[in-house]
Amino acid sequence: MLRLQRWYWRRRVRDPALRALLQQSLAFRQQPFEHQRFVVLDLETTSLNPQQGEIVSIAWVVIEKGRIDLQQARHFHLTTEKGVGQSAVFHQLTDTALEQGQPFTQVMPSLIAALANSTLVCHHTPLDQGFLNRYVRQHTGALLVVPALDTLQREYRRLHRHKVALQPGDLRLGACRARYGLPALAAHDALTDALATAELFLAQQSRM
Amino acid sequence: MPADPRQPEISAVAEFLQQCVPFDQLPADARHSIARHIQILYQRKGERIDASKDDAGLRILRSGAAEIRSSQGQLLDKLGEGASFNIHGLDIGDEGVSAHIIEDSLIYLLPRVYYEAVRAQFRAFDRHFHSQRSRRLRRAARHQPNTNMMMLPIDSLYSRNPLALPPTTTLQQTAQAMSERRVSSALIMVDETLQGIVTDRDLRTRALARGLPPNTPIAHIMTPHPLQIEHSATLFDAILQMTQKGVHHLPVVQHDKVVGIITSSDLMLARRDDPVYLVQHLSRQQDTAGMKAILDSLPTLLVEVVKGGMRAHQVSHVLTAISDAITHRLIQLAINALGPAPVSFCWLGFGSQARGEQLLGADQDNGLLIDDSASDTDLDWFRRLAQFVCDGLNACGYVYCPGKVMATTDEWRQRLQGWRATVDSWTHTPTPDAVMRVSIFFDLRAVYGDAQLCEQLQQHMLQRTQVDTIFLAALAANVLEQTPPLGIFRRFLVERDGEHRDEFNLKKRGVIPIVDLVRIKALAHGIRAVNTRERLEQLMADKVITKTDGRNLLDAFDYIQQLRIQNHSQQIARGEQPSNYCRPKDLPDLTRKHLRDAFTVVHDSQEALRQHYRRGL
Repeated sequence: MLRLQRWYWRRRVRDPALRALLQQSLAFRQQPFEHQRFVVLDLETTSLNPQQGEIVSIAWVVIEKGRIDLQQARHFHLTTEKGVGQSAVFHQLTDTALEQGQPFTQVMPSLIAALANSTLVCHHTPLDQGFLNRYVRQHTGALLVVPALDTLQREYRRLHRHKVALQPGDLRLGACRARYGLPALAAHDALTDALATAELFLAQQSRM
Repeated sequence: MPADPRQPEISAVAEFLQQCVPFDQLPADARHSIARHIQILYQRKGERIDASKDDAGLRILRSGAAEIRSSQGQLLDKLGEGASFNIHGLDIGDEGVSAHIIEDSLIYLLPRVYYEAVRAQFRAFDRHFHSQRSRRLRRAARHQPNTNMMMLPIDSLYSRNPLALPPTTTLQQTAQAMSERRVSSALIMVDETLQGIVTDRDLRTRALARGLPPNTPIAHIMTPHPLQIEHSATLFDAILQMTQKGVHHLPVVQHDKVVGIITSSDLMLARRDDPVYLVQHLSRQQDTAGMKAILDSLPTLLVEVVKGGMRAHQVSHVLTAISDAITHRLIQLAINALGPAPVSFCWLGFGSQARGEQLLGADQDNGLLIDDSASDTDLDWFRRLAQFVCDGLNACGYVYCPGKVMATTDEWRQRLQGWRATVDSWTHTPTPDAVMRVSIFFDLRAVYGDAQLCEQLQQHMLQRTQVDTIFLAALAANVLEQTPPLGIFRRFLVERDGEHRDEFNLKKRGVIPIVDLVRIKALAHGIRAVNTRERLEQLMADKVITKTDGRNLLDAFDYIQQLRIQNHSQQIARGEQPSNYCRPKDLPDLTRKHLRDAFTVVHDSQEALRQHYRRGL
């Protein structure tokens, strides 16, 4: 399925960097965990609807050799058209802060470069991928079809396997982390959440 | 807002580092730079990091817990959230140290090159990792700033109302004035100007010995232009001047004006760490009211000696000597009132008084040991003695023992025979109540009377306990109930509610566990000393415990006691009643860390004891 999609979008992509990414071999996924590279990403958006909302900021951390390497951490703020509105309170961002942001076209090359030979990891991947695909397609004519893992899905399956009755909120990032004894985090920005997701991912991996 | 998305501010990591010693001492931008160089890994319970194989750098525990063990598997250290270690650095000189993850841990790893760079740049950071923890604790216990008594200003010591006489005063008038004022010297003044000084000795050697007529003017024999001392000088300066010049009296001046005089006996009195003076005063009092009046000065005295740098064990030594003196005096007063004792007896002190570890606010724990020759009617005399003394102690501020461990209780006032039987019954059937009593009872000391009686009882007791492992096990179970206030991640456990919310009791949770631990060891090995320090030293000398363990416990004990008296002294200075409660949040970071170390030592020793008596428990 993934290969088919990649083949499809490879032929329609206008951006050479993305084409190279879509042409890469996926053989790295067969390697042991310690030899794989993961890009754990989080977005802050103005809405939960990928078709309407705007990305406010985008951040990722990289896992290599089984460790999160914070030297490769990135945190971008994007310019938005509609302003932040209500969710500013939530994300502790203001319009002034966003004025210092940059357009997505400037961020995309870094993102595509980071994703080379890597698996994308998010907490609830469909949402983040939905946003990214809409933005990427707008600028390249293609989708960002890369191997992806979802810490939320993994947690859901694990709890399901153990026949745990789920309560609302049990799959939220903080609740998932607590089950692995990971500390609670107060701040709420894209980088902190990306880091929190990456730590959760390592904890999950250690139990597989 | 980060200027460069390629070097983002990793606030979650930096904020965590800010709460960790020694990262908290670094400037904020250094922490942010460190945060960017960190690698994060998750290690499962049971994983092990060997010094020989791992050269990765500094591991900081973000969550979870780890133990550091020697190659023989001996536990060296226990680490919780916020603690950091570089296993390679810990291994120097001791091959084969390893770290064991005992709870699933999220670990922030600062790679070696960056770790070394930070150490090179910041000295405080470097020092922190320079030595192992037990050594750190030892330093903390010994090298606290020790402001010497000698550096106290003489300001509070000199008498401000010296005898001043004009030069025309006759020898006889001078001698009369000095006798009247009960002073040993007189200043010879014209108006406000000091002309000379005359002392007892001058009157003897320069006047009497030479047969001068009594009406000779005093100016004739005075020492003109005497040495003087500034009122801001220290005790040290004063003693130095007196010994160098061979004088005993120094006029004190301020802005060239005489404001008083200081004598060598003033300086002696200044040595208030010597309880001799207080004790002497106490022994002259005719009633409890007089004693109480003297004791009222104890809190201020404590503040002064703590400020003067006196160590906790010296303070408790002094305070114990004082309560001994009061007991002595009360017994003497009782004998004056009741007539002489019908048979010989010994007044016993228990608990902290016996151990010589009393601090302010101690209650009374005592008993009365009576010679076997006492008849039943004689016992009535002792009942009245006990009543008199215990009431007196209570009036002096040594409140009645809530557990009734007092000579007024029949069980604690017996003939030697009776005491022996009581000890036997306690050790035979160690009910929780008996065990509790015994743990108080085993710290005993003869405070007044026939010490031989006390010795016989103590011998009997040690004979019984040394062989009775079931009893020792019961005693162990009892003492292990009180644990240091540390949670699983070495966080301080504080009271959840009530008057002492967010505080813990330094005595109950810190001192008592150590005292109890050491007592068991001492009893099991027939050691007669009752003072905790002496017991520990004896245990080390007998090789019952290792030097390292013994010294660690000693340091922990000293450290917690020191914190207690400092706490008391601060409370008194604030006008509060001294209490043993302490709020960990109010302590400076380093003190908290040392205290945590001290508690860890106690905890580990308790674990060892638990293992030892496991079968009996």
